[in-house]
Amino acid sequence: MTKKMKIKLLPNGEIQMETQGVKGKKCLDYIEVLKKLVDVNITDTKFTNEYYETETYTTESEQNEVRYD
Amino acid sequence: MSITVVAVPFALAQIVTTFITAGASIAAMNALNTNMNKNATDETIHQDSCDDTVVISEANFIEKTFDTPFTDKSILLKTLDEHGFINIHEEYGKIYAKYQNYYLQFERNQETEPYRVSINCLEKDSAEEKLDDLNTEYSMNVQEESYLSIIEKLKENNMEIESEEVLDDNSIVLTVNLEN
Repeated sequence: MTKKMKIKLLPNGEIQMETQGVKGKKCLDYIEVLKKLVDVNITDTKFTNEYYETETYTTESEQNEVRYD
Repeated sequence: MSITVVAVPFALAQIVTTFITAGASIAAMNALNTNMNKNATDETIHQDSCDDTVVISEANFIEKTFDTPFTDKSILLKTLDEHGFINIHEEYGKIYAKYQNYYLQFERNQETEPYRVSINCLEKDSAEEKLDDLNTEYSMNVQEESYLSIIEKLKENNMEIESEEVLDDNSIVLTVNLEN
């Protein structure tokens, strides 16, 4: 899933932000990103299932086919 | 999604207490009238007079005081101006403004605190409604300021805005691509 950050600005002034496709504790970095984008006080944080998942990385060697003749 | 965060801009404080004091305060009215270049008298209302020359009895005015979530002075001044308030000016750290029969005085002890507002108005008028109107307009100005700040900072940091959407409730949703 493509990594995205959705920022919702409500007409009452409140801001909601959610990350998508960012697994594990790395999503916490985006709280700081939000604070740098706009001066805010964080009032609530919720973690979803993705927070508890680990990031998977595919290396080049794993992608190579293995052939036995 | 992995994390959801709710945040409130610094420009908006969360109100802890709201208190109201009611009752004509002649000294306060005189002070406000002096500031508004308008003298209070004991004459009754002249129905046929235009707004500039209507004289209203002191007894018809009441004063109410409220806590507000307004923390940002520039946004507050902009909101008052856009709403149609006149005679908007600052004196000794207090902000004064007038709208029809509403006389407002904003003050706070420190710049980091939200303003308290004293509203003098006719008994028949609703100070609460006027404050609600201001609250709504101030919040929308905060939304606009937040939007502009976010757009500018995203551009400065070369972050791509994948999409921008305005919802039916006038919320703005920005989707930022994090892949790069």
